Amino acid sequence: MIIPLVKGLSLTFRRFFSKPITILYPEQRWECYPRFRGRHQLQRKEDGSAKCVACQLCATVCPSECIRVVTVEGPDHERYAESYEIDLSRCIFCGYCVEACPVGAIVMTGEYELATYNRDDTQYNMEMLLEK
Amino acid sequence: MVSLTIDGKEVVAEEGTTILKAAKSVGIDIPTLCYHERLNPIGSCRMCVVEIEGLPHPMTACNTPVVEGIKVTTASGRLLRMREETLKLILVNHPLDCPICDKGGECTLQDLVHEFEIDGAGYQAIREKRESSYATPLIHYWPDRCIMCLRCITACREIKGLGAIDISGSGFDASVVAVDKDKCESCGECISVCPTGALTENLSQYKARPWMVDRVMTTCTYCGCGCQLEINVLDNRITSITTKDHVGINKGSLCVKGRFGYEFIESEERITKPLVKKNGEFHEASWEDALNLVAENFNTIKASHGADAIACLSSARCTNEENYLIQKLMRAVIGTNNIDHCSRLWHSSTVAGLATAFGSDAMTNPIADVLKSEAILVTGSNTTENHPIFANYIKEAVLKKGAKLIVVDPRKIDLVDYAGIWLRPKPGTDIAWINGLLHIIIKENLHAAEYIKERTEGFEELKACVEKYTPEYVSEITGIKASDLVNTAITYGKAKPASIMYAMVITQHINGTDNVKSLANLAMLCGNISVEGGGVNPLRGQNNVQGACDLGALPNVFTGYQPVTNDEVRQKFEMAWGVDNLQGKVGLTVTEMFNAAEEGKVKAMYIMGENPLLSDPDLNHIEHCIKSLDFLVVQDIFLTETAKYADVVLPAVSFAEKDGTFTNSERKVQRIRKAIKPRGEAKEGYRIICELSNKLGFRMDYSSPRNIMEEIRKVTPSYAGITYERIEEEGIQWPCPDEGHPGTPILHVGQFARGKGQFTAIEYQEPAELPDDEYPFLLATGRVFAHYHAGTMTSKGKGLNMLYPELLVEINPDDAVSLGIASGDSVHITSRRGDIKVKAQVSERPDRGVVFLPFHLKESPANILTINAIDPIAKIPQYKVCAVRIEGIKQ
Ligand code: SF4
Ligand code: SF4
Ligand code: SF4
Ligand code: FES
Repeated sequence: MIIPLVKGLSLTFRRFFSKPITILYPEQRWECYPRFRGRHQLQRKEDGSAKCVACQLCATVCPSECIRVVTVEGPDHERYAESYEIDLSRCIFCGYCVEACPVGAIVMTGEYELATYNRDDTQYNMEMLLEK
Repeated sequence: MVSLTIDGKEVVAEEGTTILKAAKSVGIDIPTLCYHERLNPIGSCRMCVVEIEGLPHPMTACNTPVVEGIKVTTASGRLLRMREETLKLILVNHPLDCPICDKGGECTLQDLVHEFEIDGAGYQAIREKRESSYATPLIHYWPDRCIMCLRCITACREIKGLGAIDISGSGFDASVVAVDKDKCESCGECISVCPTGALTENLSQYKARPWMVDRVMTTCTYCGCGCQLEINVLDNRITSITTKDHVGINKGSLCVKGRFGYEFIESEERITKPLVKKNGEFHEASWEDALNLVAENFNTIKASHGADAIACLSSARCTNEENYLIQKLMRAVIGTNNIDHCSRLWHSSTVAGLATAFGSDAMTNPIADVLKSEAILVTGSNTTENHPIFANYIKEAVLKKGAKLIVVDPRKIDLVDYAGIWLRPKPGTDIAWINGLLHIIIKENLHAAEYIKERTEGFEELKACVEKYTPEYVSEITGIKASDLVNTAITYGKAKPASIMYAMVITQHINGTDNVKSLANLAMLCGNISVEGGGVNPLRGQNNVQGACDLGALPNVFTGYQPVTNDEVRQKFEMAWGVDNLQGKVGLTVTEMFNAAEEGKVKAMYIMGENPLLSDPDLNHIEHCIKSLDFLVVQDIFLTETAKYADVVLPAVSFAEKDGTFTNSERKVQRIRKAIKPRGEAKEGYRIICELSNKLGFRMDYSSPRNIMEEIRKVTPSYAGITYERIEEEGIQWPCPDEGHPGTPILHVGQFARGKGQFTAIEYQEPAELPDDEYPFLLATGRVFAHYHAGTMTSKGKGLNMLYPELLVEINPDDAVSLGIASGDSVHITSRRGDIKVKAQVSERPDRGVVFLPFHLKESPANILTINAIDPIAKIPQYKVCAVRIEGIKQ
């Protein structure tokens, strides 16, 4: 009975003297881990065009159904996305879309500051997602 | 019967079945890739290998027949390894581009690769990106994805009977190429059987992936075949048309219009708001205002000129429910029988002719019956272009079942290639050659004496009448060689059973009714009515001609052909509709309506879904008639030529935007289903009619077409057993008198609808207008496969116009030489009624002295030329024959 109590308290006391985990946000900013799942980013090919082939797999796998891709056909029967939208207010940041993408066109960045004053600003379109 | 063991299970199978089918019958699945149920086994992929005890090598299950006592293993370790290797070898050549391939998600190869857990080829080959063109611009061929299963080639040959594509090259360079681009009809059969994404369609490429769309099963809106198809919808837009393998008469096939002709639905030219004309210009209006205006005008005209001053053209394009309501509106609310529809222009001589002979006017047999016929006589129907799916059946009967095909047609139509006998009578001489056949059959004693005695009347008169139609005499009139005629008569007379198919070319003559009766004579003479594989089968042009007639959009009958002149019938309808003054006087037919309009007897017209200003004969005359109307309402989906003259235009919806039923040419009542929401403010036809009726002071409350069908059933004996629940999966053929009745595929079994079959003695008459020195050519009008009717729908998309962008007049090479015309030259065609300018195409199809002109496109409306002489009984205009002059235009 007494031993667990001492064990628990010892942890508490140790924390008194260790470096604090909380930071003074926003003066100080947190460096996220490499595999952190933040805002999405669309990748470009070497020639600068979007990598996305508009296969709809991300939109299909997304559990909160917040991705919308419109596919069109190029003059040479190539397939590309005319528009690509993510509703970040619904996204649960599960990362399935990244996993599903067969060409690595969508990745998740470390950006986590996604609060907005305006609901409409949570709707990300293709240009916003392609921005570095 | 043969018994064998498959995977330890005892199986009994019929002799000749394949191991694959035998295995399936006991629930054992063998993987396949090139095998397709509708095709003869191809045996090109080797996925279906099985081991047979005692044989050193595995055998392919799809094309090895069962043998007594064999022991088959379908899934040993060796077989699985072999199948895996097979797949890997295919993947050497097949790119793993599933994410960008349209087929991804419903690809047989993809499924198999998944099943066998293969993640790459395992072998490498040097591949170059290849591009190759295909037989039609509507289909894209991806040579890299092709696995050389040969399904497409086999389907084109076996189902369509065309053989337009074949393999060229060998090894990695092999690809599917067009043998003859002109043969390809762009029907898309090859796409629908291709197991991979090697064939994709160019119209809907990439619009949606298979799993994203809703597939709504419905009935095609174009021709009387009544094919079942699925509309693929994503976000309220149509992305493509697909089919299910086993469903409907088409069993997965479609023609070019059905598969690619959907673009009109989303055309920008659709009207989306009611339009009201003020000072000669259309202004958008609210539904309320537009309908009030219609109601007001109808009321004033009815008050000042009587109900008969109002007339209505219903439509064979609209659903049964809409046709029923509009005739109810005219009869019960307005109080006139002036209602008709354009089937008059196609087939009312069928109604008149077959009704006299048999007592009922429809196709006597289902189309699939031709597979049981020994001989098939096709006349006046360019079946491959107008009823492509029916044509598939005819070809199958000839190619697979060995039926003899007799084609009687002045044009060298495509079916001639499959025919054993082809007769080429001069246009308009049908009665002569039919009487000739009757004469020979009686002389040769090939007629069914027993049947004639028991079931028909009027034989003696007929016999006396055809006495003088000796082969020589007929030959003089028709230009058919006497020996050919005899040959035909013997072939038809000896075949048991033999079937007759005909279409517009027979009916659109001033003696159309007599033509039809003559064909009925021929069929009865040989005892071919009421038997499987026999019959007289009018092929109905438009999707719902049959339904529009059935539902009483005719001036002389209520639904189910119950005559308006009959007091009892009228009382029944008065009770059902809650009115007390139904008119007993037969109303005006289409042609009479227009004439009456010109004379000022008809003041107002309601035209629902028709475009008489393109489809009716003698256009200049019709235009004048329409202009003389005081008030014209047009309900349509486009601002058609006719709608331009309207005072009020009401925007209706296409078949994809409404529920209801169509009745196909075989009398099969089939569902259509709403796939997308109406465009703009457009409304379903039944809502428009109900609202108008309410404004006219007669309550019509139907919450859905289903309720209308319930009412139809109560008043129409032949539809009494047809409910939406019963036709959910598969249509029912009327007559269907009660809910337990399975429907009637073959008419007149045991007894003719009128009691005894009626022979009619008919003499040959010359056509109304024959060529003379001034107008030396006979003009025949008709359709081409890529377009439909007035072209209102088919010319709206890019797809079908790609195939047949402009009107071409077909001229026989000999005539072309004497006129000094080459293909592509512009010519003037002049008749006594008008003239048009078109490009010429020199072709073997028309006979010398005859030119053929399709009537679809509004740029050069062929019907300016045609004649308005009408059949005295059916009042059908004589479109098919008129005399014209042709002159080349000097550049
Ligand atoms: S992270 Fe998850 S919820 Fe967010 S878009 Fe991707 S799949 Fe959808
Ligand atoms: S195109 Fe399709 S159906 Fe034709 S051979 Fe290639 S894979 Fe088979
Ligand atoms: S054959 Fe007729 S019903 Fe069938 S798809 Fe073609 S147009 Fe439609
Ligand atoms: S399925 Fe039998 S060989 Fe292809």
